[in-house]
Parts: sequence; structure tokens; C-alpha cells
Amino acid sequence: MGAAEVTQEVMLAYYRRLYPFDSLFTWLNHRDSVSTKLFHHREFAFSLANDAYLRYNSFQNADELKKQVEHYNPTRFEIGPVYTYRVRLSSFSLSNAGS
Amino acid sequence: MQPKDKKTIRPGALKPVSREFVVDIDMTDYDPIRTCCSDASICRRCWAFISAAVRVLDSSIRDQFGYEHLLWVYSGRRGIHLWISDKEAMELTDGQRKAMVDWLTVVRKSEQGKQVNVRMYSTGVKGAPGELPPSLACVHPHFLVPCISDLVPQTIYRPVSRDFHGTGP
Repeated sequence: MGAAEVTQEVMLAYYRRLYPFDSLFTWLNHRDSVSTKLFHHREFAFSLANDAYLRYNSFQNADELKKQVEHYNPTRFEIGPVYTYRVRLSSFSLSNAGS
Repeated sequence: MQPKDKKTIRPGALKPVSREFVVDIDMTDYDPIRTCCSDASICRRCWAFISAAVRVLDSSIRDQFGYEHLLWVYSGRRGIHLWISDKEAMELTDGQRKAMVDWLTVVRKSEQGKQVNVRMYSTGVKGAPGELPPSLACVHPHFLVPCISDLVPQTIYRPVSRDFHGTGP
């Protein structure tokens, strides 16, 4: 199957039915079943089909991540570092930019 | 503390503190060495280079650095990624990560064509780690079969193989 055949519908079905969000959570959270900052202080970045690249997303748990992934239906998403606090786009305001 | 409002975070206080130690092996890294394919194309034989790299790196990292939580994942196209999740590995600085990779590097890409520079062991300061020979032993069976025997004409290879094993098809 060529890359051209991986449609957005296929990607969405993959995220909804196949992608191992629970395993991803367990792995990133170092086997702790309760979300620690290893997971919820973690940055995720999404590449969308319209070429948008959305950084500074963080999630409380696997369900929250899955919901957002299904909403964006990204062509890919990346796992960034663990931060001192939960990252949000709003954390990086202009007033912080110069510091 | 989980601030949901930027006003509760001091400017500059939000910063990355840890991340897995990630190694990215791409098939194109082997372009100076492999003769079967190049660039984006890939075959069973040249994938054996990746397979061999996994064997060597996995045992080297476990034995020489003591890390235990290694996850190997197919990159989705033509390579493989290693994520090391040990707490100590996640807290390494960029400089320390680079030093680790330098220590594990044996063959350096040459600028010109297909030449490669192999760092030889037992040659002083520039020598490769003494652990290289055990690494070679672990990779030998996985590398020889797909990479070397494929290159040897079967008329030469097969009779020898029968003699050694005493069985044949």
C-alpha cells in the first residue's frame, strides 16, 4: 500500500480503534496507573493535514490525549520533554517571550 | 502544583526538565556501506544492517551504561528509534548524550564517496572501546546469514554448508 492511500479516514479509524493509547500512557508514566507529572507535564506536538504544527499540548491521562488526537486527526504527533509545569500554548505569552 | 493559568507561573520557570534518551537509526546512514539499495529504497538484505545495529547497541548500552528500560520502535518509514526511559538517562544533558553517542560510534562517515573510517581498537587514544569484540560476537550470526551468505554464489556456499552440518535438503 502506497503512502497516498493512507487517507484521513484511515488515520481516524486507526486512532479510534487501533492506536495503543493505554500502552503509551503506561510507558510514559513508568508503569504507574495514576497519572504522574511524567505524563501530564509532558509536551505533545501535532502535525495536521493542513500543515499546521501545534506545540505545547499536555494531557491529564490517556483518555484526554485520545480525545484530542481524534479531534485533530494529525498526520503525526510527537512526544516532547517533561516540563516543570503543565505546558499550554497560553504559557508562552508575549510577556514571557523576552525573559 | 498544576497551574492552569500563565499568571501563576513565573516568567522563565516553565522549562523542560527531562526526556528519554533517543537514538535514531536511519537506513540512509548505511548508504556509504550498502551496495544493494540507496536513499529511500530498502530490501531484506540492507535491513540486516539495522537489525545488526539493534543487537550491538542494545547489548552495549545495557552492559556499558547499565540502562534497563529500552524501547525499540519502527520509525514508520525506513529506520528504527530507541527510547531509553531510565530516570538517569532521562536527566542527561545534551552534552552527556553526545558523549555517549561518540563513545558508541565506531564507523564514521567519510566526506568522500563510499569511504568509511573505522575506529580501530588497541591503537591508543583513538581506539574503539574494548567492548567492541563481544559486540561483534553478538552480531555475527545475525549479520552473516542475511548479508554475507546472500552475496556468495550459492554454488560455492551450499556444499560447504552441507559438509559442516552433515545434513542437506
